[in-house]
Amino acid sequence: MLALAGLLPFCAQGQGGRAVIIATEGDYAPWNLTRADGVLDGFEVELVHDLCTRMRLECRLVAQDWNGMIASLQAGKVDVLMDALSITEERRLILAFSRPYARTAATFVALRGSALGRLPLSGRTLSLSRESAPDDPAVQELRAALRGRTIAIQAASIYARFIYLNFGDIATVREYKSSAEHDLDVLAGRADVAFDDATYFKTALANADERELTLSGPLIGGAIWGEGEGFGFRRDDVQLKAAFDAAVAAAIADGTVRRLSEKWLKIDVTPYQLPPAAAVGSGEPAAPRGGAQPAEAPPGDGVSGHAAPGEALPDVLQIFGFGAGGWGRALLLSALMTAVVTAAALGVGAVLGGLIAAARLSGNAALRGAGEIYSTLFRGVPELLVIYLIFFGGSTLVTRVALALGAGTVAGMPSLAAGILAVGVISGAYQAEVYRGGYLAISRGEIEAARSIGMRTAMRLRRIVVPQVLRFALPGLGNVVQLTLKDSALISVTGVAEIMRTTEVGAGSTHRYFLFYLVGGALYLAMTGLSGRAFEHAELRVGRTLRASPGGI
Amino acid sequence: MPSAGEFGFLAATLGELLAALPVTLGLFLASIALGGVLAAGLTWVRLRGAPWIARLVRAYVFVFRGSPLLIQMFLVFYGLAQFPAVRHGMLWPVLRNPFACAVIALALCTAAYTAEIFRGALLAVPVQQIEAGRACGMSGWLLLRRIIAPLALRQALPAYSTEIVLMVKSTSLASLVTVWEVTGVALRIISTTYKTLEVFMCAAAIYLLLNFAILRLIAVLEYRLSPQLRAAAPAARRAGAAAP
Repeated sequence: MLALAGLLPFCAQGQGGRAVIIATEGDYAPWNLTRADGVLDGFEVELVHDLCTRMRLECRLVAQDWNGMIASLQAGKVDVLMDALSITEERRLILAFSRPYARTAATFVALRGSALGRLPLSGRTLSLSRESAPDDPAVQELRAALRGRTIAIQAASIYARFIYLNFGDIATVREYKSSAEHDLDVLAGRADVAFDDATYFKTALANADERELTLSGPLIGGAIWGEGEGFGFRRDDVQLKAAFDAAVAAAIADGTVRRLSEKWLKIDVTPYQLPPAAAVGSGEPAAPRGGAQPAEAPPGDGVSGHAAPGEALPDVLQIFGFGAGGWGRALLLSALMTAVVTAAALGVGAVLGGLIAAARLSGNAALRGAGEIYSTLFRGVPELLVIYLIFFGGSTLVTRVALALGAGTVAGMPSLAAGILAVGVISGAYQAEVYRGGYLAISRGEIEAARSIGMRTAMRLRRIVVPQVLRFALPGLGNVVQLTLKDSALISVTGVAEIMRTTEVGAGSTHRYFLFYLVGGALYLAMTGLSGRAFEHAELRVGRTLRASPGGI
Repeated sequence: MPSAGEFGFLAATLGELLAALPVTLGLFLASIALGGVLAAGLTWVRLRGAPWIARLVRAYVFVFRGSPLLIQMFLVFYGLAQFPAVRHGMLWPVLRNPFACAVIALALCTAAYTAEIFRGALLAVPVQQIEAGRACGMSGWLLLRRIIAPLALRQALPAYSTEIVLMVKSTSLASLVTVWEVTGVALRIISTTYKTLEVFMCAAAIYLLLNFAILRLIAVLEYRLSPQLRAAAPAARRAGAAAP
């Protein structure tokens, strides 16, 4: 109750009536996931709703791609990050963390029935306090079994370090961008075992795509994984952090964390002790992990039988249908969003591209130079960075200026507008090249002829140059349209729910990766198919004026 | 106010990213070479082959231009491997290798784009020039080598330079299939340090320099290949630019 008392000053001051914005990925089931109707759900989501009620704060959840999250926090677009963030000292340099609300164990996964399907110590719980423990008897047993094998891990996770330190010398370690991918590669046989969070595995293994996988070896927990998972804040946001700290402590004390954890993760992940300041290497006894036994121990095939091959089709129909729990509506809406973003970005790009092409072809050296810099810069820098700079850099700038003028926090540029601008700027650089190539393909004689019969610049442009540039540029322009369509996928980092983002969220929330990627690919194909058709007609139309093409070389 | 520690971080990051540059370059060169050969074949078949083959090529171009490379790479690497027939087939030793898979996915994709560029370039070769060549008694291979290819190449260069630069950046997706090139390493550093903008700036600088060098090379080539467009340029500039 002391903890709750600590909240009062915060409540009194509040945040000027503004809701606290909490960002989560929305595709890391069962921690945070997106339901087919677009509503966020999962362990963390339910927990944070509970915490906000406790703090009497108005909270708003937004789903966002991981790549944009930290920049969003620093730009002031969101206030709290919630994405199963492991608290580490290195990350503390950038973020402030709440006290942990979960502390999980990790384990191996292998192909059912393979030599590694039953590693030593399977079904046991192993508590380690030192990160590097190749001399520990249990670890030695595992080392003997894994010698010469390939171990798959998620890059830059806390587990990666552990695997490198203890198995890096005797096994091949392969790093994957996400947990889903290492599972798939164990299925494919490129890796022998994967090592990751046990709560993640338990959900992942319950779906039809990963039926062939089984948990293997001990559950490894203890002080090696650090303090656990916490909320992330801006470092100067001391009040908000204090409020969350107190609320998390209260939720742990009254068993809420335990209840939600058992509901979603099928295991209690409550971090019971207060985080020890420097427990690493102290050889502390096993941390009580309150009933941390997996319900489905490796030998039993307790994984709930999902769809049998025979009923696979109805299953698919349900997932992509329009009924309750179907993703059909969300996917259709995302296609619409992609179309809107692409069309708008192409418009922005056409204007910019025309100007840049004119600049590059002009007689003025300064204009030519500027055009060239634009082309080189926006074609040469990875698209993702341009989007970062315009979206996050731009709004940080706006926020700073507003603060300097004493205006307090402002909303900044809306996601959609910033995304369209960024994609349009890139598209413009490519369109400029296409227009320039088209201009250069006009035979000089025609322009000279136009000049000699006294056409002025405007008329020459309208009658001679533009029609021919468009004709020569058509195939290249078709390429740029496709390119822009696919670049629009990158604004998923800003949280705009276009096709790519919806595909990833769907795949992560349901663990049906292939299905969602295939459908996502098909949606893009449908859209590019339409634009390709249009360009084909256009090419045919302008082609009428060309004589027999060199198809008959 | 960047402190000494921040400069240290930037230097360390840059060093770590540069260490991954050979991987990026390897992916780029291998996929451009493989993709170029594939594209030349596709273009030839589409313009000269039987109608049903040409239709097949169109379908190929449609699928690979029409869907994001990320999805293609995911399906080539993780998707194909789900079929036991693939895992036990003769291609598995190649497909098992992440680098080879990444190159194949990149090459398949760039071939589709490049084939379109080549086709557009061939169509832009003035018919008069071909007729003139024929009138001089050239035919087949000689005509292709002396007249069509140089003109088409010149016409294709602006668009092809775009494609090449795109490929440099596309290699950044290869970390999806565990090939840790520059962008992948950058994302990995970000995951541990959370310093998004700084790390991305370093990565961007590397790509920018790389692409700048490539675009310069192509500009020189473009200049060399277009003597007819240079007629108006002053003599002094011509001499200077031809030197390199």
